[in-house]
Amino acid sequence: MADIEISSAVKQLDAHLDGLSKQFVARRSLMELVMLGLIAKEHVLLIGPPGTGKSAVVQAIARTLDASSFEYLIGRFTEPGELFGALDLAGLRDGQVRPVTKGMLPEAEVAFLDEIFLGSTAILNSLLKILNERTYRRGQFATKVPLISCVAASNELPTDAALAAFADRFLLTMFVDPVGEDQLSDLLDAGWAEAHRDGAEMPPLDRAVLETLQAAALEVDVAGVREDYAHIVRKIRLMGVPMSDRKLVKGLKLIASASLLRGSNQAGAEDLWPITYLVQSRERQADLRDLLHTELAESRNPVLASSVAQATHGLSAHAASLSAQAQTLLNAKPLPDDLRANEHWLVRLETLQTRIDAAFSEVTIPDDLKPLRAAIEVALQDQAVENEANGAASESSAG
Amino acid sequence: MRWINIDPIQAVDALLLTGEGAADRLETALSQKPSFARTLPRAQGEGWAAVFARTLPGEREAMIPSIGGALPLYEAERGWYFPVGLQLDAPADMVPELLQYLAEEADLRPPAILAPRDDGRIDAYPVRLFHPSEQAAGAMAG
Repeated sequence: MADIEISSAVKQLDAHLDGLSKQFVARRSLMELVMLGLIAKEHVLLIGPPGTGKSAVVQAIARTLDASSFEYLIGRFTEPGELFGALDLAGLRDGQVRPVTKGMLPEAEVAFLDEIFLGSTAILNSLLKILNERTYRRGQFATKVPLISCVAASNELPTDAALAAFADRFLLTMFVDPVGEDQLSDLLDAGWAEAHRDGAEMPPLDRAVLETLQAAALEVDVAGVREDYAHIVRKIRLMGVPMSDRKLVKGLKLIASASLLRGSNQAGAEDLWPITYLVQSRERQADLRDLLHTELAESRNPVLASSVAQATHGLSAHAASLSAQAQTLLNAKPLPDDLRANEHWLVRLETLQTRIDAAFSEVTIPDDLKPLRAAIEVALQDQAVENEANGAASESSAG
Repeated sequence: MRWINIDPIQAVDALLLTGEGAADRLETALSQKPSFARTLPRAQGEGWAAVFARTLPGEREAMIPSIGGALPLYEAERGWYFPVGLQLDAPADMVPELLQYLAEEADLRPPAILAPRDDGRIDAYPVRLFHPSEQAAGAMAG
């Protein structure tokens, strides 16, 4: 597959995430993680109180994907047929047990199941097979399912051991909190804007984008991070965090996908951060961020910057976020004749430089951020020289 | 009152220059920046000057220029500015009460800047904001 196709796919995905995240406040990281799951073809579990936008975000993503989707709010009395399809009565007359799966979960590429742990044993057993083996079985009836990723949500993690084992099938776990008080005003603005939106939807993400990235992720070379990954795994196990071998092996797919979205077909230290999301405990995820402060210090991803920030220690996350902002801003230089846009661009550069200098000294600035800081300085100096030249020219013409 | 170091990841809400000619240095620095910088709210006193961040028209994030040698500050509590990377060594829910006590003791009213010295003493700067002419921002707002 040509590199240009991959880089174009990454750009399209990034632009799609930008468009989607404008509709929500403080939910970019959730969207990024769902996208990471889609590229790695793995399942995502969202844990958080009701009303935090989990369903709305996943529905928005599903609506704008060129893929078949299925969503359902599971309750204690939900029947298996409501998810997997009712039995085909004509088939029953012929003595065959065959569900009608059209439009149901077994035919979906993307599934969103709210309140997943309320499902009955029959539902969870069928789901287990679908999640693990991409196979739906009912009696003698068995079919392969096209499921790419299942996103499930719940208010809390189950304490029951059997349900916890089921939850472990979800590779990525994100804890979703209500929007912070400092963003309440933005939340109200976004909610009001949403209420006035007349159904205008974003164009769907081209199916080829996801397929290209899914295929390319499998080609990423992860040999360079195996030792570091193993070291982190040992450290996590010493901490007493339960993590199955299956999860650890699958974690490499996330690292490969992260590397791809960073723009590299060789995974590096920048791409180890998804490991934080393998842990299914809010407290343990927080512990891990501190424990792996050094190992995840180089974490960076311009497309998944918010997920990186949530997965890593404060200062590393801050560096990653500043790097992503700097890259975006430096690539967005306006045309010279657009004076207003140029002025805004310079003000943003100035602000970013101030934030970088406030956080890092010449000694502590991370290697990734150093050249970007230098590029900002050069851009600002160039502008200062240009302003001086313009000033001299207008003085001489006035004279 | 004790201070602790925290990760310096706060957004920069103000910059403080101290020492002789601080106000002139700030004026000179801002004059070399995009015109938006010259419209930012400022405050000054004897031996110090500060400039405060403001949002660009139509945007959410507050902007502030880069000024060499200035101390970056963040608004730790409403109206109280601390150096980026420093925090009062007290439980978060106690900080407003502590600041209230300090304000009463030192006859200080927010907005104010607090900056600890190496010897543990605290420099307090009462902020009386003034807004330079908006004229320079004509191009930006237009």
